[in-house]
Amino acid sequence: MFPTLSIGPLVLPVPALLLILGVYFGLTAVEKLAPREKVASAAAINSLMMGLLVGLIAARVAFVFRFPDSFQNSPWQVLLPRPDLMDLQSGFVAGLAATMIYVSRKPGTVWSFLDAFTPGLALFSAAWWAANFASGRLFGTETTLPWGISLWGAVRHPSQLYGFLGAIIVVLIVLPDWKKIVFQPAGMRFLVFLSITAGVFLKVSKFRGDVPTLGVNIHTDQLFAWLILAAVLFLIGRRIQHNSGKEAEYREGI
Amino acid sequence: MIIQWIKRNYTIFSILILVISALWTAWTAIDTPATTQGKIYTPAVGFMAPDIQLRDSMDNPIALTDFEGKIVVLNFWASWCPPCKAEMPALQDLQNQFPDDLVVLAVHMTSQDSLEAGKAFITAEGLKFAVGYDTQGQAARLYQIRSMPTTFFIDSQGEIKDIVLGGPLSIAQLKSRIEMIREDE
Repeated sequence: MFPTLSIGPLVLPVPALLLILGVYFGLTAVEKLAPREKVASAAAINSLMMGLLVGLIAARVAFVFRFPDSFQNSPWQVLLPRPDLMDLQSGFVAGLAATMIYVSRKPGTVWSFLDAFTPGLALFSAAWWAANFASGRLFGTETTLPWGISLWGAVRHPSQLYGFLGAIIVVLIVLPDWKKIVFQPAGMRFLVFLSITAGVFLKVSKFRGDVPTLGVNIHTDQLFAWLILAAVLFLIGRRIQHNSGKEAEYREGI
Repeated sequence: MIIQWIKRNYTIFSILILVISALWTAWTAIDTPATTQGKIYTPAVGFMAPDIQLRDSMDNPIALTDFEGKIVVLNFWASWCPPCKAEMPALQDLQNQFPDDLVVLAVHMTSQDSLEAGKAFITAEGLKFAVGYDTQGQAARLYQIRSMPTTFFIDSQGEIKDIVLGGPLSIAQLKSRIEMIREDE
């Protein structure tokens, strides 16, 4: 666990730095790799920046509406540049909606844009797991295995490192240009990313000691990941069918 | 070749994946031990706040357990730390707004500062909330303080709900966290 990095009098929060690095490398990957999905780099970056901006504003507005009393005596604090005064779920939904609306108005299909975003999402996901390792969140259950780490009063599974390794595998799968073999038709790169990421969450959850449970000790994140996996596998099936139909039409045309 | 097989037998493949995932989820439910959150005393979110023994300005003993049943804002500070000093008025404001069910306990890191400087600052600013002096640095070690200020938000059951490294915290940041804790309770 490395929550802070001291450089002289400066104390920097390592998790936040890792997340910023994740955003930087993610955006760089999107910019460099978008053209192979027939999406202009500028359009891909602009749509993400639009989503980020709308998401940040929505997250702050939702937070203020949720806790109006906190700002009653000092309304100017609504403008404080602090990330903890945000309702992240609301921001995520609003940012996603803004990106989708922006993308749907640009030339190219939504699936192509999602494929263009995928390398960035995969790199950010790896940075997110590393940030959790640095902060000690998403910690593991107790273990006697030799690679257990001493954290929060016990020797535990390094569950964040398991997640990080899973995310690196996802990066190695979705970054290379295997378009002709695997990522055909458009949207497959994104759907494969989502399905394997859901698989990583499913797998890692078994070793996590911080997950809320439902009923008979069912991990809520596993249930959520399973539902996402089911939906994504269904969509992949539809995309494969769609592609087969197009290939058949093409052959008939010949 | 594997990809072609998957594409040809996609329905079987996806059902297989979902069944294996469901079995893994079931195995997790059966095999994974209950979480240690809320049981171990350690300075992390979701765990119980370790007790600390301090001295107040009159050299009387003061402990975290003295405030059982109340929400506690445990703030580690020193008089040479500008952001620590900058957030003190907000902490006082918070204590004034929740006089009955909340306690601000400011832990002066006396082992890294001077007792006189700490006391002088509290007097000069007219701060009325509880201040404990950590003369041996035990509280700082127990709470693994790496930077200042560090603030722990502890619910009335003694569970740490949030930790903020650095500052200065504004009244909006402090109050919204208290409202979140009250929502959970």
